[in-house]
Amino acid sequence: MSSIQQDLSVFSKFNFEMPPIGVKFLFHKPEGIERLDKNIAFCQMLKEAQLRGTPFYAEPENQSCQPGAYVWGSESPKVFESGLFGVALKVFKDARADVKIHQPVRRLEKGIVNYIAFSPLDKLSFDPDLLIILTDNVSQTEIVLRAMSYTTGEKLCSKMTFVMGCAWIIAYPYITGQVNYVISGLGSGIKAQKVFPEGRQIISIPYNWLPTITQNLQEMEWFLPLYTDESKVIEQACAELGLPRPES
Amino acid sequence: MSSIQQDLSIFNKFNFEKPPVGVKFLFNKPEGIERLDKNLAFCEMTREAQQSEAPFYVDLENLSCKPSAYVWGHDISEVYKSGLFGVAIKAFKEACANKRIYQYLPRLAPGIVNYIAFSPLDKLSFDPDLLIILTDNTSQTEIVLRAIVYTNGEMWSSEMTNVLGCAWLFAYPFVTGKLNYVTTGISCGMKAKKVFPEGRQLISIPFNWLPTITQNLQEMEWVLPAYVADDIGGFVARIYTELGVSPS
Repeated sequence: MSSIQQDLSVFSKFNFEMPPIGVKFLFHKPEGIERLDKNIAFCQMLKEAQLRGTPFYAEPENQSCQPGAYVWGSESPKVFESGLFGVALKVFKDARADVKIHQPVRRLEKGIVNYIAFSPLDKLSFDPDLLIILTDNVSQTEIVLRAMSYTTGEKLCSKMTFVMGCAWIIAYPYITGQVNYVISGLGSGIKAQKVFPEGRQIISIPYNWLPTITQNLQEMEWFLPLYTDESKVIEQACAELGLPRPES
Repeated sequence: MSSIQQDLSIFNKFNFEKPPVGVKFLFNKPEGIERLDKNLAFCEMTREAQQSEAPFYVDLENLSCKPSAYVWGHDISEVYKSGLFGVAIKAFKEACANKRIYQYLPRLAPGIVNYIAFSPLDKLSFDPDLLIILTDNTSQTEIVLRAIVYTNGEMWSSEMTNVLGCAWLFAYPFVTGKLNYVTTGISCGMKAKKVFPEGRQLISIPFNWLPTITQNLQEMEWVLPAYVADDIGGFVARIYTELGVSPS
């Protein structure tokens, strides 16, 4: 596992209540990092990394959640994919709805990821495949997402399914290279396990977006003048560009 | 404009702090509804309808936010579309980022919508093209969104840009027929105008989804058993046993 090459310290400026977590998908067992000493769900591994304060790695045996194991690429009993599990949980009226929800779910290919390393930002010794941030409020979310669009005009998309929410935080951004954010309290598993406070955003940034977002966070104004005095800023912009003076 | 045929009263059960708002896109001037007596931005019209005692309609002259006229299908100054305006308000570093947004932004087709009617749910006299809900908390959002999952297994997708957020509340659901939800405080315009409390969800339900969602809200359990289980591990283990799966 190569050492960290990039400077992600700009994220420290947010003073997040819980530290961002770097995640690395590995074929070989990482050296110099402890194995997780318990079996928990994917989403709980993120929380563990936030609270533990030191890096650790997990292997499939550490995964206690059947849907989470499916996202990691393991074969799961077919009864889960049949839709009957979702009906038994009363999430779906009929099995067919549960069967359908499996279709867009991204999962890691079996056998290519044997270990996953997690580390809080201040202990990060490797270049992460994902940086996962639990924001404290929407203002922080707005700044991180704006850092994505500031130089690119990228759309802000949040993809999620009601079950297997971990797929959209862990597998989807890694496989597609798209930044994703989800709202805590919307996915059934994370909500039922009370992993994160409800109503926050969990932003998952894949490695390919980290240079752009960190660079833009260093350059752009975090709090737009527009938010302090909208009419003055609009009026100045219109005057500068020769547009008609806007109505008040 | 035809009279309302469907029963949307199930939404009253949420006791939303602000009422859901029905929106209708019209070619002809509606009869029996008053014209809005002030000029506002699109997003502010939704808030106006939440606070209004009676339905109202607007025409283009009522729209105070010039860029959002584009979303309505009207021509706007090329200066906006050039991206220079986004740079002038410091939302983007270069014009290309803002300009790119105009390449994919959803909008109503030019010339087909001359009037837009708004009504709070309890005064709704027409079948809405959109029902826009501002939820008070994530639990309410979860229930509404689960109502598209319960029988259909739909994935959730929240589409948004950091400017012209109204496009994703009004045009996108109507044009695509897809439910959309956005988190308040993420898009610059609405944030700057302080239209809605931050951190809530605005859910825009297009007409084609209303029958499914209202029916499912009547049938499904609003609070899932998993959310109130004292021992979530034991609860899931019991379901595994019911399905003949040995817990891992």
